[in-house]
Amino acid sequence: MPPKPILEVTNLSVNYGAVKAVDQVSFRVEAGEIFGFLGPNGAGKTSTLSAIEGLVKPTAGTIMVDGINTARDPLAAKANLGVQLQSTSFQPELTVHEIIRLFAGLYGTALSRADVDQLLASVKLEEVGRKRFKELSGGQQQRVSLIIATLHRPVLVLLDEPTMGLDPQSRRQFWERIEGIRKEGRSILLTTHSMEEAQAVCDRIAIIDHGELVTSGTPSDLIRQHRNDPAVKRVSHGAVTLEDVFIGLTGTEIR
Amino acid sequence: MNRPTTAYKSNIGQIVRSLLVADFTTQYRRGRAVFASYLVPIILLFAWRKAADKLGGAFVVTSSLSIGLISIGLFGYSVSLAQDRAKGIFQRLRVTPAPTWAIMISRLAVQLASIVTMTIVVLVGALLIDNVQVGVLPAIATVFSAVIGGVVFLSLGQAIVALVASVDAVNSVARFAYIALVVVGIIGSFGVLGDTGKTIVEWSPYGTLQIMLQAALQASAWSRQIWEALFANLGYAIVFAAIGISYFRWNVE
Repeated sequence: MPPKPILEVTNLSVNYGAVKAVDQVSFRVEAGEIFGFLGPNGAGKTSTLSAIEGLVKPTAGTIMVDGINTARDPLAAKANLGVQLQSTSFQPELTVHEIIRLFAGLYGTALSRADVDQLLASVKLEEVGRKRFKELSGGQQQRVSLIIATLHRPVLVLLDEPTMGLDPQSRRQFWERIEGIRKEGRSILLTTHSMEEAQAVCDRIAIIDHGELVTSGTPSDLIRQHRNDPAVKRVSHGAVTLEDVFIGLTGTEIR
Repeated sequence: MNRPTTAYKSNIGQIVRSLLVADFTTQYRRGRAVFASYLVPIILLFAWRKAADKLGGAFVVTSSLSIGLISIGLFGYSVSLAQDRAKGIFQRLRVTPAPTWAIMISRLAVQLASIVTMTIVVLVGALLIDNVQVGVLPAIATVFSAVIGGVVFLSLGQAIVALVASVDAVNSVARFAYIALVVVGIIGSFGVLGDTGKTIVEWSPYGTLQIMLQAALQASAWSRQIWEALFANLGYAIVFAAIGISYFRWNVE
């Protein structure tokens, strides 16, 4: 019997009024896997993630998180998820310490001050505990957000464009941390516009466009499968890359 | 590779406690805004100091309290709710196992605590500034009435945030509602708007609150008018809350 997937999305559709944002999308994320969800702006990435996170109600389809149906038991499903939204916002009046303890409480994890200090020290942020979140640099905010997304040791971490706006050093540190989370056996589903990063870190990738899943597979499989597509060949210069496949399959026009 | 396991057991007590600690801390740090909602009724107590004998201490206190309650409901609550929604703070909370009702109850609990504090501040201020003495039982009844009135204006604030998307628009609508309730209420209570105007004002959220507060302050026996005012207040709260809950959007993007 094959192992139970950590995330199983089946025939997911999300409509906003008459607009179909996600149309019959199906995919699975296995244990310990980094799964990249790629697509141009407005392709349906964030809508898919929002449906998994319980922020939007699917029009059709099922989402199972570690065997829990998100429609039947949304709170238990959420307890198994660690989430970093595209634009993270916490109460500006609260300190980093207070925010971490708030979210620990929401996940049923009691953290003492010393525990929080230890968590912050683990990402070299011991000096920011008493600062307000808005006073932190982009890289520091990103690290704190990741602490909050993973402090309850979720089986699946959802990251919506996590490296957007980060400098190369912060990006490098971020991917090291993601690799560390994966080594603990946790799964990661992320969206990104960086094809180089996706190719380098993702075990498997799905490309979505106009709300429909266009293709999925390992980065090398996708390149192998699509390197002879006329649309891909037209945009490639030399050896075909994941970016060539992405642009070949989703078009060159700016959304 | 070891597959992690998550043993989730819903702990609603811990969730509500965590939300309350965060929301009360936020309210405490928003000191200036909170102070401003207490300031207006205190200024009124000063302004009407000399008129207290003529208008009656109860009128001065109930008017000050009503204005304070409307300020908390329309500005303290609705604007902060709209701002937090626009910043995505609710969305971040909604992806956790915290039920949405717990997120909202925690917010309302902070505002109700603010209402009780403001009522006590006004009663103490009335004694010190206007020499209006209120016994212990009438003071308790006044706090109780203020909470009921406060719920009406918190519900109205919730309805405004439900129906209006942007923070600026919420601010404008709240200001308009504030002026309509307070100015028309005060002018109408003097009979300047004629008999029909006076009747409308008496049955408005401002007017019914005034009746309840005056009855509480003066330890009046429960007359039919007070019962009607109580039911009218409960009716307003139910209608505004129904709109505020049915149409509320957690995200305006």
